[in-house]
Amino acid sequence: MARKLTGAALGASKAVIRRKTPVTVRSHEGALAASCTLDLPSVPFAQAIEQTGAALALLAGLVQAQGALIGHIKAGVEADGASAFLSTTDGRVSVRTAGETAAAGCKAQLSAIVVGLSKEVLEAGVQRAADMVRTGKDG
Amino acid sequence: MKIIILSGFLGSGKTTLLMGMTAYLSRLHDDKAPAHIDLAIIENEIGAVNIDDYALADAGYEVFGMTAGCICCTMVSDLTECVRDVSERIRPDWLIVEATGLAYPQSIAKAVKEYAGFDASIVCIVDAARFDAFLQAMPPLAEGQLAAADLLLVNKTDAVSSEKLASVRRLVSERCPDTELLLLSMKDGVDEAVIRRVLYGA
Repeated sequence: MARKLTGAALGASKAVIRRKTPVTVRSHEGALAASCTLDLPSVPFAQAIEQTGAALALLAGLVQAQGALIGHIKAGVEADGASAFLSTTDGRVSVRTAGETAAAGCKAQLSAIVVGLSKEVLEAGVQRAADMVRTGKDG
Repeated sequence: MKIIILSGFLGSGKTTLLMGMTAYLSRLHDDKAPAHIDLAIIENEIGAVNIDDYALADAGYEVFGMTAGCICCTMVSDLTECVRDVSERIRPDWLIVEATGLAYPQSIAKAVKEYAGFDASIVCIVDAARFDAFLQAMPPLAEGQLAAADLLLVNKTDAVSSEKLASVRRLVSERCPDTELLLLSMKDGVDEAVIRRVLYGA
């Protein structure tokens, strides 16, 4: 019978066990497009926008630090009757919102297209940004 | 049905222009019967999720999203099937095709003509602040997008010095000397004259 291995069983301490966000990466014309979807069941809409904006700036910084070209980095945040659209091409994040809600529970999507970066580095960067969207913290 | 392909590198302002166009038409046709649809949109995204749907859906127009591929190559049949479907079922005045920033618009126009029977005009938006980086990183794509354009819009003029703007203008004009070129900034909204030029050709 197969044994289910947990993070702890694999040697990770409880403090470093993280939920890994599935990140899809595609290549086209020499560019890489990475995206992921996150459920944020306990994060209020306004907080989700703030955390997502910080995550986009973080990811932009990571890409620029590697000397790669940002095509775009975008995110959408959707909650009950409200939505937000965030984007950056240089680390300065613009935010457009429609509607408001105080209820907790959002869905967020991240998308990044870059030129001149390896798949592994981009995937790790998007993963790090996704963690920040989820927790509001880097690392 | 008039088909307009919006092309240009990622982040150049394609979605912003499109949102300006939807807002303009909404203002213009406030009194129009709800049954009449003046604008339909095909939105393409290379990645697995299409973030722009969030923004465009808020404008109240139906958006046909095509994700996880490119309508200039891997999704040609999906594109042409959608164009035919829109033309027969919805019959809008305009069909705006927002290409991904990594697409060759000439291939899109060719496919639309060959497989759906429609001519399309191509508007290419150039990001004045990043065009030189784009040209350096992806020269065939940058050249291909410029060469295919019927109208060139050099955007983000507010974000560059007059010297840089002159340099970008020269780079673009050298490659497309016969193509109409407009300089603009969409930072605080899209100039209605530009929208009319894109929609009506005048």
